[in-house]
Amino acid sequence: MRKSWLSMICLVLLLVTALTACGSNKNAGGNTAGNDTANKAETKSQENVTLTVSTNVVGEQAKVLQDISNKFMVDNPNIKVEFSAPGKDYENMMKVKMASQDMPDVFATHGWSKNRYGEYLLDLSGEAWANDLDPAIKPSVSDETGKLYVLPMDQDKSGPVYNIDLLKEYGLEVPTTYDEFLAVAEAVKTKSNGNVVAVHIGGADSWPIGQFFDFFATPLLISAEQNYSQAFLDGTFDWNEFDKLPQMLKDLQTNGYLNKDVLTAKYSDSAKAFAEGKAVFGVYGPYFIEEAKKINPNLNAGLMPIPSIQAGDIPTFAGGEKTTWGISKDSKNIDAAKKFVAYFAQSDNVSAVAKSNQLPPGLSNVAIDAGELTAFYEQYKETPVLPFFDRVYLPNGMWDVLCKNGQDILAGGIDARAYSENMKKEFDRLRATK
Amino acid sequence: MKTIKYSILTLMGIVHLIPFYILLSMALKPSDDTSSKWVFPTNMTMDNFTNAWNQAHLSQALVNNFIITFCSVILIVFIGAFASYPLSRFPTKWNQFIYLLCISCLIVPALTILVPLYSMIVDLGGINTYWAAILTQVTFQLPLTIFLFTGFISSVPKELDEAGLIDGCNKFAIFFRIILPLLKPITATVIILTGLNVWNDYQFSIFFLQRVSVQTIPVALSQFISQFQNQISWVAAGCVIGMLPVTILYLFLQKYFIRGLADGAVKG
Amino acid sequence: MKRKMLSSSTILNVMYIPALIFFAVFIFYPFIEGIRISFTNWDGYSQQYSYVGFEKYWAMLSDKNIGTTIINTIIFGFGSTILQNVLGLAYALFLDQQLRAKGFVRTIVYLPVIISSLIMGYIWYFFFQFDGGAVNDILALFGAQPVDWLASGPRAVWIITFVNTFQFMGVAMTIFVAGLQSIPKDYYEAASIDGANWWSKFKNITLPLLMPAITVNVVLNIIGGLKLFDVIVAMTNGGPGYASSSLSTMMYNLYFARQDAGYAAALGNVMFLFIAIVSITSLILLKRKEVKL
Repeated sequence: MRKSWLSMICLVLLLVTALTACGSNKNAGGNTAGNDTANKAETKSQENVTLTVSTNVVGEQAKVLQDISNKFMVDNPNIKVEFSAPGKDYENMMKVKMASQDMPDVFATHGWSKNRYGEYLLDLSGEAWANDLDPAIKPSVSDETGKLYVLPMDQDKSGPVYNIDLLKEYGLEVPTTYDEFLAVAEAVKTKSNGNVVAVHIGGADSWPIGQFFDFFATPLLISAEQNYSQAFLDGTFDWNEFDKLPQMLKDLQTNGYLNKDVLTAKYSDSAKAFAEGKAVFGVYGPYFIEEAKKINPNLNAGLMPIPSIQAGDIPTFAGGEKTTWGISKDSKNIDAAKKFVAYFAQSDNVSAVAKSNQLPPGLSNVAIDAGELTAFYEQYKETPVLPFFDRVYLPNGMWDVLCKNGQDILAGGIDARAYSENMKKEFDRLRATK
Repeated sequence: MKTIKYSILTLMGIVHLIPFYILLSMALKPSDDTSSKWVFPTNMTMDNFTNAWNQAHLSQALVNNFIITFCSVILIVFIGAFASYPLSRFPTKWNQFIYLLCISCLIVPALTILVPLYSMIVDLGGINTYWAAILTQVTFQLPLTIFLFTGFISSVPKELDEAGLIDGCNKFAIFFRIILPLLKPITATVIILTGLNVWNDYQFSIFFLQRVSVQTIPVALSQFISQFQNQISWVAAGCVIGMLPVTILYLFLQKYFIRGLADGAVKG
Repeated sequence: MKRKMLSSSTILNVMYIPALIFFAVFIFYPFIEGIRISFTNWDGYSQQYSYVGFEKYWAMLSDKNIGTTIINTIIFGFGSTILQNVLGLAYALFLDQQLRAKGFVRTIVYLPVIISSLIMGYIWYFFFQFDGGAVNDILALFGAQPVDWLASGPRAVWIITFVNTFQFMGVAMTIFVAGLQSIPKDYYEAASIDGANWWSKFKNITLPLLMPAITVNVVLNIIGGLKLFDVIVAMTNGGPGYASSSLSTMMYNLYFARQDAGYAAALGNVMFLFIAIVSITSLILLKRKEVKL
């Protein structure tokens, strides 16, 4: 009896050591044996390296990135790319990695190249493709010292999306001011007898509410001639002025322009309602159309600029970086990483990535090919693109405050004044720690 | 009376099968079928299964799940049983303190230790390795294991130990010869409960197992959900695939499982 | 002789050293690091931070969301403990009778444990959904207006408690079934001869002899309920606002989204103390009530 137990323990210990050995082997080696022998002849002089690459995107867009990366591996047999796309926990994972200084060699920055990832990124301004950068996107990914943080493969151009057929059916025009927007919403409500909602917000996911604030803060506070941009930047903003914004959202709800389940519907429910023609507007970006088309491929949807609010102002788009690659400054394989990023900067690759996101490309030597949305980008070519409000005027970490308090005001837990007070408190705290 | 009892029995069965019904209906519905999730699919499809299987590399993930769960459970059972013996047989003041210390490990919120733990594993070179995943999983399951084993061992009559003493065994020999063989039924319980936790773990695995070659099923499935997109029906299909092995294991172990609880934990 | 026995049992303590090493490396050390973080204003990812003393602990006192969160956590903890024990015991008693297929039903009741809690939350979300949710569809059959079930925080808290109970009551039931089977049948026979009715048998035999099972269940359920996380994330994500948050989801939110890691760590430590006091007290109290056969 005793012996058999003891041998069992030995077995377990053996097993564990064996696995440990396996694990560390994998860490050090990288390439499989088969690859090694096959490529020995041509890579003798070059050292084999393994690049770790992480992105936040999933699905079709991730597949495009992965395909390009596979092609890269074929062209560069001594470089092995380990591609990871963890999905919704990407941001949290990256935060933990930053804290532990364990960054991947190449990673996506999803809008935060400067403010969040800045201190971990290598300056790419010396790269050949840097000269082709589209001037429109340049300010979002570089700073005044000339440091270029990432390669932007596309550039965001976001505004509300709308159902073209429904607007036509009700005989309504695309609104250019917020008052027109409200009038359209009222018309939708009466003409559909309440069967179609004007605006669908998947508030249970909280970020769609933040999206509303992010869109409309710009025309309310930033884009007009008289604006508060400087006050935000130096921290002197009078938060009483902010009250109007949460009140706008609350009024949409009180007037019955929002879906009834705004607090419990999720983003996927928004896409479903939009796809089924139960909602006219989605306060999301171009990506929303694509998600809805998965459900209804015949959906006829369009993109519009954010309506203006202040008198004399014009509509704008919200913009900035979207799909990017940055290189960790602590990477041990900087040369290989630069090669990898440069590969993605080739015009056909940039074009493929931008197309998969239905967005304009980030490099000026590449033509726009955004599928069905190309027409809208052409139509609104002259419309100014202003950066997303929260990325520039709010300290990093405020996003969740926008969203959660937005839920709270819709639930009737707080009023607009309390909303602004909560904003002010976090604004001051986060500014103080920076 | 009989009919009432049997109708209650049937109702109980049906109510508890509901989640499986929904899961299956989600997994079998094509993604453009937007009918309510509790309406069974009219045109069933296996696409969700094939997509989940191929895109999440579930064949590899299943292997990883097996390796990690198997090794973890073996370590959990042995280390847990070892630790429980002195803690339940010799409850000195000191050992009672150690016991409470073990229980309090059950309470530590995962997030307070996440970042320091991650940094440590990075320094040890353990990210994306089986051994780090196994060792951390073992640690998180040990408190529950010790809680169940100590309860069981204290229900084993002391006379057995004394008989062993008379036979001239030392205390270690008593553990190996008398106690360990008796632990079989409670071990089935521990295997089911902790094995399930390890198999389904997401909170830690998502951080420690990022490379495709070492991902477990829950981690692999997470790539189907992001802020702007979700493929919940693929997740459901993947979830069904991941559930099958555990369900079979449970059915296989369940006769020991109930006995284990009967003989052990519940006699205090 | 006595000396010898004592020393030999002290030697046995080496048997828990492996477990302690595991705890020391993977729990105690990171936990102490966590305590250090709670005295800083760290944002959770950058390399710079400064020590702020007890500021983060004081901040909790004036944060009204923390109050809601603690109340919710208590409902999650005690609500699911009571529900799981009462329902689990009722199920166990019912399934302890001579019935065909009871083993099969027991298996079914246990099976939801196998689904991960996150997925379980998504599944139940489809029930309580406003548009196309099963509950509202049933209401519609009776001509009633649909209700947005999860839109009200307090109601959502109870729905989540219910879902958690549904998923884990199988464990409680199984432990009770096992406990019932270990009660010697002659106790009941003797009581029947004395003319005891069902209730007095239950009160005087079943309940006292089930105390060890109750201890296991209560301690495990309290800890599980007070740490509840996955189901909440899947069903309401703690919303609207923080109205259905638990301490765990609040902490997660503070740590990652609000970038207030110091505050999150402080909250985590308070949560640890709170759960430790509640669960260890109930463990000790319940252990005292157990009767040995």
